[in-house]
Amino acid sequence: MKWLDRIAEGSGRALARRTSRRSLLAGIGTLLVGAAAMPLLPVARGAETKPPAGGKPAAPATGTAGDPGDPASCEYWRHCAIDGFLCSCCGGSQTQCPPGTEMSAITWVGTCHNPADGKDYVISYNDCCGKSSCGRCFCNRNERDTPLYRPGQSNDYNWCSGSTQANIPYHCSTARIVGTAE
Amino acid sequence: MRPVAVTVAAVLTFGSLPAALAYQPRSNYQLQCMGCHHADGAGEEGRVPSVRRTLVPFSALAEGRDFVLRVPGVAQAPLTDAEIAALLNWMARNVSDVPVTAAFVDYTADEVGRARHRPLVAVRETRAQLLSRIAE
Repeated sequence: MKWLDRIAEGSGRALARRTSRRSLLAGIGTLLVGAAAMPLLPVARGAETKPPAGGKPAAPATGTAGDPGDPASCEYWRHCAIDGFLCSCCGGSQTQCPPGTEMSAITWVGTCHNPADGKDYVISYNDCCGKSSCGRCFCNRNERDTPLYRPGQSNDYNWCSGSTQANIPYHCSTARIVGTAE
Repeated sequence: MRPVAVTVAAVLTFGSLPAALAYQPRSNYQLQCMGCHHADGAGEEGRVPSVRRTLVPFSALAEGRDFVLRVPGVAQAPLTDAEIAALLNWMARNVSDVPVTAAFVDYTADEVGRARHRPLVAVRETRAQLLSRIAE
């Protein structure tokens, strides 16, 4: 087994000659900065919004021409069937949960009419869960909402009960576009 | 005679529904199924069953087709028999890990209508039995 020792010693000494001791620190530093720059959690990626086809990213408060209105107001078109606190008023947005909350994957889905292009859109009202109720911008509009015995289209449920961590508290609701209803 | 044929087809397809509510299968999937089964049909482990590896194999068995048409989400969906048939045929081709082969028999409105009005009480037990059958 002496040959193995010689190979190990030789490669160890060669590595020591080639690299400085600080290069390890530099490598770790690069890794840390790189990891911080990229969102690693799948939840964060799922909640990301894509800029509309026009190229401009959606403006947070006033919306773009294709997405008119104020996402922090109950009258915003996507809120036509929402029941809860608007995440746009709670540190999040109409598509993203506020920090410290988790988006429930199970949710209810409805349609709203977009006044900008006259089309109906499928809207997913994912709840954000993990903190007590936000308490700001309560909005309860019930277009095509169904009674509790039709749970798939009912906004009276606390959809946080369907999140990966069951029984965590409800914080606020988002209104994410799934596609056009056609 | 062509206009007459088109009119008859249109009445058969949409006659029982207000036109504004009739959606394509993809939108119906998003509105009636996606909230729990997710956009890809995978569901939630332990809570909502996945359809990805079961819908097509179940559809090859008479008992499996009966099960698919009688589970609460299908039987009670606010959709017509024809819409449910179109939705299931769309799902078999779009949210399935098991590819549809030439042997796949499309669901029809008649078949949906015959099955969905008989409530399925033992949902989990029936599903478990079917799972053991397609695993053989």
